[in-house]
Parts: sequence; C-alpha cells; structure tokens
Amino acid sequence: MNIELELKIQAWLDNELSANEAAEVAALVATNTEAQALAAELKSLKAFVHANEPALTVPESREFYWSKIERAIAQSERVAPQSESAGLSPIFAWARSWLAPVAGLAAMIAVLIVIAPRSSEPEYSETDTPSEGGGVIHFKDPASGMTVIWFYDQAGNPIQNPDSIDNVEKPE
Amino acid sequence: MNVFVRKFIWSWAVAGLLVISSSLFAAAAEPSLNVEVRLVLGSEDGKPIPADFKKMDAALAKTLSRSFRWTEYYEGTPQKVQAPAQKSQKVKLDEECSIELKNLGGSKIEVKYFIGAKQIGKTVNTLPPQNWFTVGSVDKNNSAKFVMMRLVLEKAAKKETKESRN
Repeated sequence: MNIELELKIQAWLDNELSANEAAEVAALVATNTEAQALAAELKSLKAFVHANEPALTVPESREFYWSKIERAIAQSERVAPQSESAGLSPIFAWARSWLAPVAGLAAMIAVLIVIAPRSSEPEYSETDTPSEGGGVIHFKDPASGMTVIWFYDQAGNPIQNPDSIDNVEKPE
Repeated sequence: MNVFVRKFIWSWAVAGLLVISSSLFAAAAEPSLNVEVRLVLGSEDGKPIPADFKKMDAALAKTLSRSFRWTEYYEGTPQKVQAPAQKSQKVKLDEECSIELKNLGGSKIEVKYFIGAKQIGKTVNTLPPQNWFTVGSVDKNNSAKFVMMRLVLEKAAKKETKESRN
C-alpha cells in the first residue's frame, strides 16, 4: 500500500473526505486486510491520544480576555497623541503639522510668481509711432545681439540693404 | 466640521495670504535700473560733426554700417541714468534729441523718442543685460541719430559711483 492510500485512510478516519471518496476508502478497508489493519491501528491511536490529552482550563472566560485586549488597544490609542504633544508647546505642535505642507505650497507659488512671468517675457513687446504715414522697423543684429528700432517717415527708407538684415520684423 | 475639510480650507487661506503678501513684496522691492545712454550720429564721409563727438568704437560702428547706409559713426558723452520703478525720466542728449525713460519693472522699459518737441515714436522693451538696445531715425542733412541704451550691472554701477566720489 502506498503512502497516498495511507493518508487517505487517515483522512477518512478524521471525516475529511467527500462522500464519494469516503465510500471508496470504506470499500477498500472492508476488502483489503492491509488497509483494515492500518485503519484499526490509526483508530486505536486516535482513541488513545484523545483519552490521554491533558485538558488545561483557565479560570476566566474567552470573552474576559478579548475585552481585556480591546481595552488595552483603546487606551493606547487615546494615550499616543497626548504623549506625542505632551512635551511640545501648542504653537510648535501646530507648526509641526502645518509647516511642511504650507512651506511646500508657498515655495511652489513663489516659483510661479517669480520665474514663470519673467521666463515668458518677450524680448520686446510693443512699438508705435504717433506721426501719420510714419513707420517702424525692428531688427536684431545676430552677430552683436544689438536690437535696433528704426523710426521712419515717408521721406525715405534709411536702410541701405534690407535683405542683409536677417530678422527684420515689420510692425503689423 | 470635518477635520480634513477644515485643514483644507485653512491651507488655502494661508496660501492666499502668502500669494498676496509676496506679490506686494515683489512690487515694493522692484529695483531701479541703471541705464547707460549714448547718442550716436551717423554721417557720410567728410561731413562736419559736433566737436564733443568722437569716433565710435569700431566694432559697434561696423554693426551699424552693416545695416545702414552711413559710413561714419560718432558718439557723444555717455550718460548714466538711474531709472526708478514706475517713474518717467527725461534724458536730453543734444540740442534737439531727447528720450523719456520709464522703468516698468522686470527689466522692461518704455522709451519715448523725441526730436525737438515732436515725439517720433514710443517703444516698450526688455533691456537685455549684455546687448545694446537702440532707437533711431533720419536726421537733417541726410544724417542719422541713434540713441543706444544698455543696462549697467549693479556691481559696475556701484564701482563707478565709488570712483567718482574719490
């Protein structure tokens, strides 16, 4: 008899098998002498252990212990926040809980206020000429980085060679 | 009220106060701009120029002559102008030419350009810290006038003030 059958017989004795399996094992035990002997041995062992197992009892009930644990948990929850702030002044306790998030938020806002508008500033924003018929030409010399705003009237275009200027931006 | 909701409202109230106070602080602390201004005349060969004008730095003259038809460029005495925030300041450059500077904050400056009493044009620009910003127009006798401006860095401005005191 293999180990699997031995375990099945043990499970059958402990009522751990399904009805079909239990029926199969019962049939085996009824017909097979080796299985019969093992079942009898296991039955007597079970009865022996059951009869000789020491039963320890405690004076208090299970409920008494659970209520004790419950009270201890509740007490520790009440005591923890008090003991945390016991050594701190109220202002410091307040600051401790608020300082980090507020400082983070303030830093973000400061970055947005100080950096964002300046980084998006255009190099120039607006130019106009009050005289009628006048005009204006913006250009930047790429080599020197010089920006020139040239005001002109209808008397003539002062630029010698407009094609030589790389990035003339005429006003709209 | 729920503790979480209360904390949320408080955090937004504090953030709002911070935004308002930092904006006010930024506006109050807007520094003056130190601007160097010089008048440059564009002329053709051989034409007389005022006695207090000297030949312009060759590199800058080359920059202008690359784009303009004038071949000779002369510069007047540079002026150091301190432009306080949000205040207009008139700068006279010669008998006819003047500008009005207004520091709009954040290196942004408004320049009104005058020949005599006539305003030729107005421009609002950010002054680049290293480069020249120039306004100009044709002048009488077929010459040209350029008003060149650039930011003077705070350290350089302080050094010059100290030297002039000594």
